[in-house]
Amino acid sequence: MVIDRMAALVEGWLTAADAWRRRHPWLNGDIIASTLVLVLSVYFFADSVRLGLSNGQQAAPGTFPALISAGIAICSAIWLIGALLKLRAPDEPDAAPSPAVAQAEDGDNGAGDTVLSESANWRVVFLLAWSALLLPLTETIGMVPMLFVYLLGLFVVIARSAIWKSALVIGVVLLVFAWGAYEGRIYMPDPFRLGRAIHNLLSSLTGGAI
Amino acid sequence: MDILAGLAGGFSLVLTPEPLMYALIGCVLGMLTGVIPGFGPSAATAMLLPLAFFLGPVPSIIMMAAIYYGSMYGGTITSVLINVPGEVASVVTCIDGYEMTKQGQAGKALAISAIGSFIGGSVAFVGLVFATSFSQFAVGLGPRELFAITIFALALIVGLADKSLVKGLVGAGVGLFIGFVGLDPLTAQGRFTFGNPNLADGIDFIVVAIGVIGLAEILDSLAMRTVIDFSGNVGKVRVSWRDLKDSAGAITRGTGLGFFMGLLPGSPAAAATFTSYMLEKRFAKHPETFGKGAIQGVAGPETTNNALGMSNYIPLLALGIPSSTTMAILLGAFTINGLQPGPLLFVKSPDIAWTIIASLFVANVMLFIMAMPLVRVWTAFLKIPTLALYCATMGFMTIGAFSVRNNMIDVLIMWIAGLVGLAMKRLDVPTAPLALTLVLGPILEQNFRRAVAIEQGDYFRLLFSSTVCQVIYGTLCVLLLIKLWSVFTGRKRSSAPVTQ
Amino acid sequence: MKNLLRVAALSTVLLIGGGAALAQETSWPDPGQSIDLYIGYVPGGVSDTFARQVAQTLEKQTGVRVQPINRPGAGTQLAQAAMLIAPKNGYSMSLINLPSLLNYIWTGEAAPFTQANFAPIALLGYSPNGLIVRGDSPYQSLKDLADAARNSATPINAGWNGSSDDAMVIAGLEQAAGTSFNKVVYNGTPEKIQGLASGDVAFFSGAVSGVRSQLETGEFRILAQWGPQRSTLVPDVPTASEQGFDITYDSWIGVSFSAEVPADIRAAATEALRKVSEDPDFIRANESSFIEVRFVPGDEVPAIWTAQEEQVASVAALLKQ
Repeated sequence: MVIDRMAALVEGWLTAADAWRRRHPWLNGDIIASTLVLVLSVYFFADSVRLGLSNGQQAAPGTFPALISAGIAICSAIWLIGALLKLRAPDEPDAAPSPAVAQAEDGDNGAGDTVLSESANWRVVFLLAWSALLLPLTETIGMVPMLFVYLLGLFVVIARSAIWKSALVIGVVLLVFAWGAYEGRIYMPDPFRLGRAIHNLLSSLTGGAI
Repeated sequence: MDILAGLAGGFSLVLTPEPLMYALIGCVLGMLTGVIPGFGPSAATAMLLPLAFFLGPVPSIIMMAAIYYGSMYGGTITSVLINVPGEVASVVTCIDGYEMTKQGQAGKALAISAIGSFIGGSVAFVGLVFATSFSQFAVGLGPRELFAITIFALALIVGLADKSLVKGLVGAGVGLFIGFVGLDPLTAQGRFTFGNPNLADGIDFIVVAIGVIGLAEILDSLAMRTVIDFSGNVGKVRVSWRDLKDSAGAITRGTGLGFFMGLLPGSPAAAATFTSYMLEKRFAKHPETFGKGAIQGVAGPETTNNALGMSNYIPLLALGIPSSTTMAILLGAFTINGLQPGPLLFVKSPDIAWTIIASLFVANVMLFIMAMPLVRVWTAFLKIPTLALYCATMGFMTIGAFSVRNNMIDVLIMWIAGLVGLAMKRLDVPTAPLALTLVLGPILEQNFRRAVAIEQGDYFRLLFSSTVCQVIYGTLCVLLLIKLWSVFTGRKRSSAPVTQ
Repeated sequence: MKNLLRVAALSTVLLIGGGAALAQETSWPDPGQSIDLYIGYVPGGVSDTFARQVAQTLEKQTGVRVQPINRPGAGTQLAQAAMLIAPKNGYSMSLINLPSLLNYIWTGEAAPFTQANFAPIALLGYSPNGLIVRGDSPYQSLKDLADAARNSATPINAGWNGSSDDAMVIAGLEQAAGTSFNKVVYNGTPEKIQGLASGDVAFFSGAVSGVRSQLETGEFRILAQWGPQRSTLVPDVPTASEQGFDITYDSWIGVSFSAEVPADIRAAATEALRKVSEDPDFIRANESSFIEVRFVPGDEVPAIWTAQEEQVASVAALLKQ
């Protein structure tokens, strides 16, 4: 299947990237995350100071943000230092598990190095890329067609079972949804006026009873 | 006796087929909309508000009340079954509810929620009926009391950061900081909005919560080649006597807490449920079971939520003040029908007023009657292959996030939060403190600054001038002293947060 | 819904048979379309309820579906922006509140639009505003309040929402009384009511519609109304100018198109809204929620808009000093 081959390809890239990362112990999740948070908190602290720290006897817009960002900066610095110390003494038994190992434990798979073959990170990559489609499509083709395409894509690539049945179920559910929203005067983007079309169809079928 | 006579009159009008049918439809509609992630009571009532135009006063208000309770319970369902918080108040239910599902106790978790909700709602209803005695008390609750209650909740927060205190605090700080984004409510100055008008009103709490908790869980499971299989895990629905006995304390405390919090301006439902959770953890015989499927961790918050949902009505009906977004929408339903909630409603049209009050109880009973047999139906969803269930959930989450403000920006925010949540999961950063401070941050800051303005800078009066504040700070001190005492006497609890 | 089809059929016949002139007059609204009404508030508030009434009545008048769309955020800016980027065919309109729409002048933040982007269809509602105190308050007139503020050792607490509409009156009052108040910021009327009822603030300025329950019980009183003349809804309350304070402030709710919508459609829409404003159900529903139905056709709105812009700008300049 094309999907399998694509999945294997993406998974291969991800595995390669992970292997590269492991050769550089300082590229540890804790270190990256704490550094990122530290940098951001310093930036936002400066921004808070710009907003003003004091306003006579009352707190200014920047007072609380400055306090909190300073707090985050201190905590993330401690986190970073802790992670760096663990890097120097990797054999310590209570060292923070690396992300890959943590994941292995979640999956009840103790062998740290075989983890990646058990992982399916490509699904996350696919979801991310596929969901990016939502942003431009919702307003242009409408909520219902967009969701149909989106969900069908998910079912074909991720769920992979009973695709025709799911397509039918998704289609029917979404059409009922569109009709319900139209009758209930609930707003959703619908440039093709599907709700109205279903309403007209039903009303001609039932002789105006609906 | 006027009260009882009025109530009897109200019940005689509600217990007829037509209003009962509206209550039933409302419950079902509420539950169905509540199941969509992000559709809490306020979103569900807002979405179904147009119905108020067509139905006339009493039916539309009965239906709105039923939708309110139904959507609350609907939010619980997704939290328990797939760890996707349906609404703000059930974010905390995810913690132990989903753990129970993993252990094959989904049915039990949903059943105890329904039982707790029913008891909480019913007791609070009695309070509501005699609301006149509370109404003047409720007027006095303002910025000072809200500040005190948030401090109380924040002091308990360390209890949520079991795995790592430092990481938990970073999460809590980030949650607080997200709450600052938007126009400063006191000076209308833009803060951290990068000039984007979509951020001017801040980042919606529920969108972030769906992302950090729900989407992150889905992404994390999908990243595994073999995903968790729930199908054999549906479990028994029956709640044993032991479960009831275990949850009795949680339900009692939840009722009291929820009733009180519902009187506060803003009726901070999420803050109330989190506080309940942390209180239960404090009072529990086995606090180490929390986070691993403790039934009290579900019963307490769920009871709190429904008791709050009932006492919420007191400021509206007795004083005409809508104390939360949902109540503001309900006020809209009143206004559309030419009614005006407040003390005069009982003078001008007592039959309508008492019918509405009776209908609140009927809606509560209706929810219970509906919820118990439906538990089997909801848990049956777990028999759907996990991957298909996740795919469908993605669709619902998209609809939910979009509908919060009819704005795609919220779907984007949900995704960013989801990726952050995934990173947090991988790095063992607890998400609960972040979710809690996300709710508390804005309440804390605004009310502190407002209280300072009211007292014109007199911090002592701000802290201690009101009796309610004295009680809250007093309780907090006692709890801390007990904690310190247990530390000194060496009776350490295995997951005692202070000792970490 | 059967009516809708009937109207559709009828107007099709009219369009085909009635010739060009008739076709032009009845071309808006086309029954096959639906009108989007963008509302910059969350559902349930005073403005939202008003907008829904407008939508319902307009639908009744024209037979075309009117869909209210809540797009709250940034002081209705998101709703206005959504309306302004929608197709300019006369099927997207937005609710405008004057002067709260002019908040951008007050905050000094750049707004994505100016008055020139809008083509107001009509103003429909007039919301009387006033200075509200507790029923047991010692102040019986604006003068009492101004005197007390001047003689008090600590400033008197005033509730306000931190934006242009409240700023206009409180700044005006401060100037006229030669004193200043201690301003406590609240989000929305319910919070202001709580503040006043609990005695945290001595007064606030706001829409009468938000406090009608408290007014009827006598819990609150209106000390003065801000309009140039007394509103028919609160005929017993003297205006500020009657009490010797030169403070006037009007609060309007209306509906607007984008300026790029063709003039004939605008004229047809103004006519449709005039019929809405004459609908007895519409008038009754709004009076019970304390909003006066007052029709101002679109071509007279720019004068009001400009005058309010100048007023807000002068207050903003005053407060910056």
